[in-house]
Amino acid sequence: MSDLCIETHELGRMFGKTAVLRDISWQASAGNVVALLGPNGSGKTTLFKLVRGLLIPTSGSSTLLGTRSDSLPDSVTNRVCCVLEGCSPPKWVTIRQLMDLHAAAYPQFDRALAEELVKQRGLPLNRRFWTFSKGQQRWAELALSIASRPDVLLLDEPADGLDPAVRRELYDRLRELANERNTAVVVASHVIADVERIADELVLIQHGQITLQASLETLREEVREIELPADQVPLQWGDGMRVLGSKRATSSRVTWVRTPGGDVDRRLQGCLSERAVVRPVGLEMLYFACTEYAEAS
Amino acid sequence: MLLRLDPHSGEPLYRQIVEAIKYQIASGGLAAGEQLPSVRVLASELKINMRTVVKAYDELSHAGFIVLQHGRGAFVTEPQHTRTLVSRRKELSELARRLIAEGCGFGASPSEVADIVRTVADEMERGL
Repeated sequence: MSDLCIETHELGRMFGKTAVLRDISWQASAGNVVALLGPNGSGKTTLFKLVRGLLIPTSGSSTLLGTRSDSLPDSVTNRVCCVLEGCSPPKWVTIRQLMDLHAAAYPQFDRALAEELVKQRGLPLNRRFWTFSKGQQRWAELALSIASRPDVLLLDEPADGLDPAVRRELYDRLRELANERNTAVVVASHVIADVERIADELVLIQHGQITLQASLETLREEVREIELPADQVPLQWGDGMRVLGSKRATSSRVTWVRTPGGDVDRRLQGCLSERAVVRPVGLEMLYFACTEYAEAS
Repeated sequence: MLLRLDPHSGEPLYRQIVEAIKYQIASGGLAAGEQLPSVRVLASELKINMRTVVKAYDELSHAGFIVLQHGRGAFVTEPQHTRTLVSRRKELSELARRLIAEGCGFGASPSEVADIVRTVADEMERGL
């Protein structure tokens, strides 16, 4: 089987006359954790629905585990878990009943693991769903998805309502799933620090389009924050360097630059004066650089 | 082996691993010949992709800090320290013997040659 679990080609979706997604060409491989970031309304949930075959695209195509997303057989869907907002289980079921449902739907379901994850957080198996808090319900749902040991796991804002300890547990378990079971995990989240801890790939969606797609290690190698005194004349960037964004403060100007091709710091030094301060960039700052402070292209 | 990574610092994780292991070796936290955790175990401990650990180990091995033994794992390089020191001393002694022999050919005594070597070495160290 190919390592590619998700593959979309110029995928697009219109709602009426509005293009919610355009030209999405994206791949996700087995064993990788993908952080899907983007402002509210950028199209992340729609992308999940298209990939999972819950929506039909208006252009382009998508395949999931080698099969077209718009005609997925049970033999594919029983290897894919998708936790979306507003698709929670009925309120009257107990966790045990939910476990039975998962056991029936997912051949790789690990009941012992499910029980461990649920009990660890003090959730009794025989209580009905509506008696739990929002965060507890979320955890139960996520625990069952993890225990289903799918080949592809799609999570839309999974940490919503979870306390910090449970969030940590969640992301540790997702990493474990990717490492041990070779699952392709895709997480859409606004809690950037959480995904930064475990993710391999970043996909940034803005206004329905992918604006940045790269491995996090590559971005750590290539992106720098450069602070210059405000009175300094603008810089001449070297070949291939790309300004992601910039921001003016009272006495200085901060610019975020991506320099592909290695040897980043030496090549940057060639463009900078001694008064420049160069720093590495974490994912949260990178997100702001590409969204709030993005260079108008 | 206790490694701490900062995933939020913007520094590549593989490089953080390389630096942390180099530090452990230098500070004695990792002894010569000691086995490093397997790629799988370290990736699972650090909650990162196994590829990142592989990249770090490759770099450490390339730089001579560790040895990757196929099928057995990664080991801190045995210090060739004592052995190198002994053999270096032997080679230098041989060189000195030849120099003194030549110097004696000019009618100098061995200690006179040694004095001149000392003086020249001092000058070189002072950058003259």
